[in-house]
Amino acid sequence: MTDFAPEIKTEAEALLADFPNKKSALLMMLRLVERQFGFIDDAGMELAARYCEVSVAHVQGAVTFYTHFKRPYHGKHRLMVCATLMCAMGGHSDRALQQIEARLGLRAGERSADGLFSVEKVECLADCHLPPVVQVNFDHRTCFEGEALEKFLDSALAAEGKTSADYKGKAGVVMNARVPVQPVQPTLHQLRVGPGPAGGSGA
Amino acid sequence: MAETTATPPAASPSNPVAQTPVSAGPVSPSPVAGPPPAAAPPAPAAPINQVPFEPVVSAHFGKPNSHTIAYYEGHGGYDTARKFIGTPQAEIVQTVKDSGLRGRGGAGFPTGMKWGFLAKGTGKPSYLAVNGDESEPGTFKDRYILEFDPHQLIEGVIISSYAIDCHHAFIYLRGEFIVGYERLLGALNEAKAKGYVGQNIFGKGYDLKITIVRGAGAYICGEETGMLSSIEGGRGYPKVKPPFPAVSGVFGCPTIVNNVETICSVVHIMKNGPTWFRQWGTEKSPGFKLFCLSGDVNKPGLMEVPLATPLSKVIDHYGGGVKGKSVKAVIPGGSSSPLIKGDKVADITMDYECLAANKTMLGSGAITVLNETRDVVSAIYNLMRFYHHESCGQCTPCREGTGWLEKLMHRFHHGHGHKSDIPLIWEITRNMQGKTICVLADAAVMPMQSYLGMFPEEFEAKCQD
Ligand SMILES: Cc1cc2nc3c(=O)[nH]c(=O)nc-3n(C[C@H](O)[C@H](O)[C@H](O)COP(=O)(O)O)c2cc1C
Ligand code: SF4
Ligand code: FES
Repeated sequence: MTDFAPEIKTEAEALLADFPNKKSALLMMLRLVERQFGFIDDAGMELAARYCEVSVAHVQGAVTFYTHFKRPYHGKHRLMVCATLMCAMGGHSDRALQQIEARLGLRAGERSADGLFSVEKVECLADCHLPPVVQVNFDHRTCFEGEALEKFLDSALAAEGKTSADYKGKAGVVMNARVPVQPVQPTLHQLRVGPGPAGGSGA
Repeated sequence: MAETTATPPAASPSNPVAQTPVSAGPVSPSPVAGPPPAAAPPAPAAPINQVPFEPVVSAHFGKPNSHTIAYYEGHGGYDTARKFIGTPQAEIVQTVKDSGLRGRGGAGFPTGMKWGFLAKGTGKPSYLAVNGDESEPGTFKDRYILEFDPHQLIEGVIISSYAIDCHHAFIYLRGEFIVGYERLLGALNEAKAKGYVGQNIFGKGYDLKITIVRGAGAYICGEETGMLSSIEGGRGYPKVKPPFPAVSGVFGCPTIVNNVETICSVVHIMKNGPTWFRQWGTEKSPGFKLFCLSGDVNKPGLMEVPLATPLSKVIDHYGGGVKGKSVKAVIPGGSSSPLIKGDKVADITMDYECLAANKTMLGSGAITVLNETRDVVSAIYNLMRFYHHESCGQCTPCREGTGWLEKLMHRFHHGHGHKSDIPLIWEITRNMQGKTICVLADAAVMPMQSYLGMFPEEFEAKCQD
């Protein structure tokens, strides 16, 4: 059975003592899982469930409720671009997304086929005076467009031994931040005629 | 932090505010160094905000090493906690009541009064839960408190917990705050090592444990009961009120929820007294507040000014004026607050009463300026997408209503609206208001109704029929 590395295990035990009951340590425990394995997958959820003495179903419920945990379907370099009003209104979010697409061929919600990069739109990252705000894995970046973003992409690609040419024109994998990747098949539900963009009569 | 990313004006990711303006208050030179003695209250009829103001909560933002205990203690840190731990708790609560401090998280509820509601004699432990979720679009003040002055927050937590007689406090941070979390954790460890947090604090026999909890990306965990559910270790589902947290909060025990900035203000009120605090602002909105200025201004950023400062002064003096030709509208208190139309800006002062009288709210103090080029329909489409994404899904009117509004706004945004959609929008919003567990639904409805009510011609122009 998977377990934490010794030093993280010590932290996990300290965590359990820091909360009034084991269940309440869950969110912080999941951060330890994230740190040890780089993301939270099924085995990680089982591990957290074991430490916090809750069911795996409870852990899955919690993990899928939140958007910030790193999951296996995210890229190694996970780009989270703030797309909320204050970043979006000057066109900042769109410019950052276009720049990323131009270099990596990825649109929001996609991951590169080799799993190295992924791009998401996220909601306000609480630094709205310096748009666009982008979080790259666990790093917070402000005014992240133009040269700054270009430099970052250069160095990330170089660190992986890749160039833009490896990604241009190649389709990204659709990555659903809430539900793991599934092939989308037309179903009766999608043929339904109803209000709104998903149903039909609207946009 | 590996790379430096900054284009001007950002300094570095971990020090992003360094070059943004933290205003120094009115520029007129003050003859007195430091705050005037508390014994000189201003005459009640005197015009407001005559006393020069220097930043208080944000005084040390951007200073090197301001997050360390050596710096903090070098500037009088922890003296206030040392002075008040061991004194009668009711007097601390009374001082906070007298100051008239109102919650800085959004609702503006009087803090002292809230503390007074804490259920006593239940036989259960009580808790303090500090709200550092900061997810209201436009808001970025707690981030800088955590990054630049975490000890101020810890001192506030010590005093506040002692005042309400609780021995375990939680500080809940949104998961995206990485530097803020590291600095707060470092500060907490420093404070523990000095014996300011833990057993027998300052040798006065008072014990306090502080636990930091990190969220993981959910706006709804900023709603107080949602945050408490999240602290309990699961989905951040809000709970029906009543019972209010002060009676039955986290783990079913009496709990006080306060915003990060509120708790920091408590330190200064205890240090200088309620009369000092009331030198600024109005009778019902005393004191000062952090404001987050974003959008179409020349110098966006964080500022600390007295309440009741004119909005035009905030935009023109501190914000360097509007970027563009004119102000079309202002979002005065975060994305949930109704708009102020450009031609009314001159009448607005930034206090709870004035904004309420203008059918909007001070909220979290996040001011966003929209200039004449901004498209109100695409702005509200963006916000409805936000509320739909962040609805926790427990209540049908909110889960479905925000979704319908997003779809309708998507339609309008692309110029495919129908004239008949406009009464439909009003009907949907009326069916969402006041019908849900928490007020996220109302927070979505308020801007929707306001944008549509204020700029109906822009919505009509986006209709295809
Ligand atoms: C949808 C929603 C989101 C909220 N988000 C926050 C938040 O991010 N931070 C915060 O301090 N308060 C937030 N609040 C307000 C809290 O519910 C609560 O009123 C506040 O934390 C109380 O502290 P205060 O009295 O010190 O302001 C939110 C409320 C709602 C309804
Ligand atoms: S109003 Fe919305 S966010 Fe609040 S509890 Fe209901 S569904 Fe959840
Ligand atoms: S809107 Fe992008 S950080 Fe707030």
